[in-house]
Amino acid sequence: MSRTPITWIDLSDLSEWRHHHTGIQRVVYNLAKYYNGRPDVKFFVFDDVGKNFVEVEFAIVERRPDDAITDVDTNQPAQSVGRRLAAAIPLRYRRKLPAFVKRYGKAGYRRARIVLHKVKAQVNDLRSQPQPVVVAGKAANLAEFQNQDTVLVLGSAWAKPSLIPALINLRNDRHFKLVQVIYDLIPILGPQFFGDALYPEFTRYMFDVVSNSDGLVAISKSSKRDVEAFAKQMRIPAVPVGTMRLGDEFTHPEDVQKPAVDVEPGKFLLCVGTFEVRKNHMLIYMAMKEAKLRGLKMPKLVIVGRPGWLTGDLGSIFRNDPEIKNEVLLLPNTNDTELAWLYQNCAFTIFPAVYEGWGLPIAESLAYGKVTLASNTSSMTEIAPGLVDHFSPFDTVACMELIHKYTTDVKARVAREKQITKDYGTHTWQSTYKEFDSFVRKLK
Amino acid sequence: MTHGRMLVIGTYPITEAQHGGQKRTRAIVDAYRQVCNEVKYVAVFHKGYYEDYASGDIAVGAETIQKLNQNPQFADVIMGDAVYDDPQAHQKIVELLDSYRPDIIHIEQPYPYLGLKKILAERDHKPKLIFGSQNIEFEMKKQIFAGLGTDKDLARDIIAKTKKLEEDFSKEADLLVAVSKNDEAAHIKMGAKNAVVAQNGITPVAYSPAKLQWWQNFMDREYKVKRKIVFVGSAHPPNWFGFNKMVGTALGFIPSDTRLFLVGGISEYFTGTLNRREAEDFCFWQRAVPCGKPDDESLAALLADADVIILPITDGGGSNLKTAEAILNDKKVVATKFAFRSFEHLQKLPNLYISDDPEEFKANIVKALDAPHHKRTPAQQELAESVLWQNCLAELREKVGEL
Repeated sequence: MSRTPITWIDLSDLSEWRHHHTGIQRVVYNLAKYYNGRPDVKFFVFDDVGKNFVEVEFAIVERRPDDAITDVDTNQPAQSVGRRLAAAIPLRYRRKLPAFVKRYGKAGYRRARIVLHKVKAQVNDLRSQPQPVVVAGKAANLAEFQNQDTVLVLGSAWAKPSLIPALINLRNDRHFKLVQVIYDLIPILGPQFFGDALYPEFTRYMFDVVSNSDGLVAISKSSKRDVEAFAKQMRIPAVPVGTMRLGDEFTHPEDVQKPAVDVEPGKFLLCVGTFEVRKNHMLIYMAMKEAKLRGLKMPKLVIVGRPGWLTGDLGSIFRNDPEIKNEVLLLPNTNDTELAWLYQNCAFTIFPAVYEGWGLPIAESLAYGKVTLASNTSSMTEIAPGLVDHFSPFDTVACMELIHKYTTDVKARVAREKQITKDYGTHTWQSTYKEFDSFVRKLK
Repeated sequence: MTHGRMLVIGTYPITEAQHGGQKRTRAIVDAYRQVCNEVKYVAVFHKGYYEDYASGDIAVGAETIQKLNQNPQFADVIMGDAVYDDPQAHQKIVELLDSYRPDIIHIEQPYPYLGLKKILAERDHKPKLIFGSQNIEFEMKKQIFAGLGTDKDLARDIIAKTKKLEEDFSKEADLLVAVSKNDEAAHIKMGAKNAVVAQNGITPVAYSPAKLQWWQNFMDREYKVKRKIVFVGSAHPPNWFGFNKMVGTALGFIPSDTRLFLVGGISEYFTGTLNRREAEDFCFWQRAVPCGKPDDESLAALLADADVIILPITDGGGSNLKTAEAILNDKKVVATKFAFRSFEHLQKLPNLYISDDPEEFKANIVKALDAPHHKRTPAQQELAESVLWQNCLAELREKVGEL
């Protein structure tokens, strides 16, 4: 009797994500959410130690991040060390961690380093012993991919260097279909924006992904062009590449909370996205400096984003420039409800990235009906043609003039907001799911 | 065993024959031992190039080494001149000629004749001369110098000198040994009066099951490899010219369950050049595996385990011993027509995929991987065994008797 083909969805990175969902995690979560409940769908995570694929329930990613490790008092510094460690510990050992942290946590922060070493030692000890595969306290089954099945890798698999090679080895044996999401090829196209190690690692990852997939779904036409060019350059046989438009519906518009910072509604410029050098915050800094020279009025700048690649110096500049430091707020730990407040209450938004795979904050900003200034490169011009005010990410004066225009010309801003509200149609995650799933089905 | 004393002179030792030229010379020396009373081989060589040599081999002195270091691309001609100009080499050659008094001198590749001709004239020695050709050297130098971007004036002089040497020696030799029919025709055009074709061949190398198991473990452990493509070549420029032209460094067309094993000097060439911070280089090593220079037994085991052997040779000279090895191993072979020079008659064997078009060549690699291996008939097997040195050098042995 033949077995019903299964669609397997990888939740590896999401299951270990310790923060609120940002770009990639939102995509994985929202696609997986719509797949959840289908009788032909199962979920799995990759066990980095045993190099196994373990079947899991979708529920493991529904837990709020703060609940992810039970019995951890987040006020204890030693436990924050434990939380850091927890993220690095394979799933099957993590269940043993709370008791361990409890035992040592009260010793206080001065003992944190000792704790860290002991936790590591225990993990190493556990690793040396044969262990049953355990997920969320329960013995789990290995995910058995069969040749009629389809495996969907939706997230940032490059963060787990063993995952794709292990999957490829299995696929070479079992010949299941493999479909992967392509976010961008920026570490290959712009290696200068990342640490030295990422360029070779990501390139090898992308080579493996493109040369071993039955289908790829890019999150923009720009990323589709980039991945097709990469395949051509490396002489990888053509693989079908589809696109899907990412959802930008805001989930809890009523559930908003002002962050505890000094900003006045309607008086600040919002810039959302990882605080990394590729996002080009430097351009805004230069624009603000040029405006100072010219005596032009500029709004307060609120930068929301976790620290990322190569911005240590830039953060220092923002914090220490006497002319600027009181006009810039860096918010590295904003949650979704605070972010919603910031979107709702900003004057307008800016997104000066040098290059993007999509540019979710642009779409979100438009969904909030806000005037949106964004770079004119890569995917950023395809999000809402005619509704975004573009500038070159290398043109300080053009950027400054747009910021100044929408700061001082309120009529123009209001008119633009009306146009955006009227013409911009938000894209639901359900539509994203349908586009993605339709592509996957056509492969069969 | 009645053909007198034979002296063979070359520009590299043959105690540990690694590259094709060494192997050919070694096989010729062995063949002469079957038909001559006494055979001596002497290499006039640079110690920096070869670690293994025999006590009778003659290492060149400091002045010659300095010339070689300054112009390594002209090494052949410098070594040829050194036979006369290098005091150490000159003296030892003279001593050898006087003490050994060879009846026949076989000069492997024309270069030693540059110096030896003068010594023979000065000492009034008149042995029979055999010109052991491996290529049409001046034509090959044109291609190599163009590829290396060698100074045009210098290149022109060296090419002219090489051409004159080949023409003179073709005319003056009592027997010319060519590697292919085409080369034979070229030498006859230059004035060779008595020529024989001795195509390159091989001596089968035995390997132990342990060696084979080692490779299989290595491939399974490191790469989970199901299928193996093997490219064996020295770092001789025509090898990488040909690889770059026919295969290229973008290897995404090779399936993910397959690896390309680079064996010999070519392996070090690519690890030394494709190590930049470039996406192409990172990706190259996702499919290619450098194997260095395994010993003969290991190489034999690797070839025995290969699914496909590639011969992307497009020009230049160099030996085509790799073609003979591939044929004798009865593997699926993807090759250019050029790789089959002097083995044209073998192109009718099964499991061969021959093309000079780079796109088709790459497609042939994938096609060969997927295709079944066809068993040879007894007649085909006999034809394949014509690549053994024993068969390749049969006519040369007879011709030496006629001198």
